[in-house]
Amino acid sequence: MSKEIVFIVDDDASVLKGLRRLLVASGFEVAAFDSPRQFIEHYDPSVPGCLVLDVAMPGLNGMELQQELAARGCALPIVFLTGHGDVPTSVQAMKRGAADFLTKPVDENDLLAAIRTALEKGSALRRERDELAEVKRRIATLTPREREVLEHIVAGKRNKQVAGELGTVEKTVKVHRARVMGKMQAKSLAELVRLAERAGIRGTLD
Amino acid sequence: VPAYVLIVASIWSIHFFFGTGSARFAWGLTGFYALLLAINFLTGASINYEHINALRPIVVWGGVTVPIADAVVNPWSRLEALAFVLWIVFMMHATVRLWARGDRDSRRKAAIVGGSFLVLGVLGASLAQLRHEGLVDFPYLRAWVVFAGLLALGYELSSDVFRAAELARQVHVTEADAREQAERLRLALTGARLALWDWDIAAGTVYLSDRWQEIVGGFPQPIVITFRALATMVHPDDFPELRRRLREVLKGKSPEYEVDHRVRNQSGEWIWIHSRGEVVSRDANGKALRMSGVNEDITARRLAEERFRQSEADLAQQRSEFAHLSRVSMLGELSGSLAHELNQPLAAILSNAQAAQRFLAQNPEDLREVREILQDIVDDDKRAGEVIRRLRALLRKEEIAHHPVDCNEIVLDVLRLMRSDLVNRNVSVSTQLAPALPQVTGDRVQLQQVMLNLVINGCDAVDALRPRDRQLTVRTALVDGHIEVAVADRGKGIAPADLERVFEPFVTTKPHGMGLGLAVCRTIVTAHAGRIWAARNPDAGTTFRFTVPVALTKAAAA
Repeated sequence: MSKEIVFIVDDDASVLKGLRRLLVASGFEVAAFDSPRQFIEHYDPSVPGCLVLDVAMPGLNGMELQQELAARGCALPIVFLTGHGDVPTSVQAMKRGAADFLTKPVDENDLLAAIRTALEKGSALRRERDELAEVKRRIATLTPREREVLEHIVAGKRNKQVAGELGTVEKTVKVHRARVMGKMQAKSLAELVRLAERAGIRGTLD
Repeated sequence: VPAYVLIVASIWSIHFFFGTGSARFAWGLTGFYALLLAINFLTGASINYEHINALRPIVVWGGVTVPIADAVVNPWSRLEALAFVLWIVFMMHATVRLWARGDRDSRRKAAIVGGSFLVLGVLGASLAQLRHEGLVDFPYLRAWVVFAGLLALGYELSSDVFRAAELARQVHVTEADAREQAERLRLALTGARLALWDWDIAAGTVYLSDRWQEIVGGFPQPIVITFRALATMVHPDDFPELRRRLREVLKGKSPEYEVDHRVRNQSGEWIWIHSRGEVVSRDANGKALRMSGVNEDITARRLAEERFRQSEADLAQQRSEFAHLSRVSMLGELSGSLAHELNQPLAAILSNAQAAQRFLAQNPEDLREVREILQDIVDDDKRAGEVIRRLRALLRKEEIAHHPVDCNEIVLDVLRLMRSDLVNRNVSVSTQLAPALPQVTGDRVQLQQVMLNLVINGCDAVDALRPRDRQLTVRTALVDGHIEVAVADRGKGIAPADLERVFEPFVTTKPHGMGLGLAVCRTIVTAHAGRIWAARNPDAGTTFRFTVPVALTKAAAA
């Protein structure tokens, strides 16, 4: 996995330069862009990191870039920088998942802390996303019958009940259940339930 | 006897007609001739002849027969010749003196009357002498000579009578004219409420017309006062100037003077007088003898002017304060983006400074990077200072200053000031600025205010549009000796009926507008002798234009 990159987007050349220097001096890998357009053109979603984004910019502004990225399914955490502490804008940005909302001029401690948090959040998100992808991959290996069995088990039903509802014998259900546990790499029923929930599988109650 | 009467008559005629013959000489001659008359009767046949032997006719010119005496000459006749010589001397004396007077009329009289008397007299005397000597046969013509002279005199007198009659008629006409003129002058002076003065410089007295009585009061009629007394009535602050101007005119340095000064009236108030005058006569050396002129009471006019000036000044003051207030409120609207403009360099400075600290803490220190950072910090600091300077200039409350101003700079200054506002509102501004525009004379801050107002209005006009349609165009151009600045938007436009109304106070098309911005703009532009107006664009939106006349001279622009 490649090193995390801090992306900076600010239309003000001197601010951009100052921020880049500060982050470089603080040991980050930095990529600076002077407009959201330029950023979008160069951005590779597979590269992990976070985005330090100015709110007020000509053309596409910071808020619009956030929406654009969300629409593309990018989970890049964003630290917003704004010249004026405009409360409605910051609330909206945070609701849309911004990592932080800082006011210029920003002190290095605040900025670096926010960036670290954002990076952690980013890696957590990535981890979670990877896990989910793994669970979904495992679920995809189940046969339709095994999946049916999984749904019933997750709903908390006993083997006998499951067999009755599926019109089969308890012994067969037991065999399916063991296969499901194996394919899902679950060591206990509790873990299986957690994995299934994660993948959005709801138990069949009736 | 008739001859003697004629001669004596000629003597006195000349005496009175010429007015130059000596009276004593005249009396002497008269007496002498009286003596001769006596001798004429007492000795011989007459004064000319001892005895008359016979009368013989002789033919003089053209066949006229005249009887002349063939007689012995009376010795007393020499006395008569002497008298005749004296008569000639008298005539000559009177004629020469008349001639010496030098005027045309006198010389004419001397030439015609005196001349004929003298020529004929000398002729007659010569003839008589020749006759005495017996050289010619000719009658004594003395009486005829005198008679001819008297005829000339008669001619002169009668022509004088005619001329006198003509003159009398002319005098009559002139007098009537003069009366009419004087009456007209009086009416004119009364109508114009002018007071007349006439200063006899040698006497040191000034005649003042009746109007002075009304203006100043307290003079006895007719008003003649000394110049000194009049001078004491003039306001001490105004007197030196009046005196200086009077002296210039008296010395002939200027043909006339015109000055406003105050005089104290009877009740002790100061009255403003407009005084004009000129020298009306000078002596042979050019020294002024008389000066006259008119005075006018301009107190009411001065007061009105003073009030007008005061109200103009008050108005200008109010305009300036109003413009300032509207500027402050406008900047209040912009405060967010102005803060942003300041924040940007401050943010850059902070990040740069903290980065520098980190570079210095590294081992080895990155001094090259630190040097670059310091340079950037200096630049950013200057940039922040520039924002504050521009802001302060707009907020400053100053007297209107008229300086040479470049309209392109005004446009660019305002766009710089509004940069972040334009960014925030997603408005893009394109500029078409005419290169090398001549400067205008004006107040930079107020013209910036007009520009600021138009750009803010333009932003409001395009607010409802899609971001990519939020466009403004700013143009400058030189049109007919004026700089024209145009701000065009592509908004929904202003109804034709409102194009003019938007410049009225409290008329606004914005939901939260006060309706003062454009009213203030019009006040400012008008005060700059320019014009501001709005016009609908053919396709979409509105264009606001204002003009300011180009500064007159290169020197004024320098």
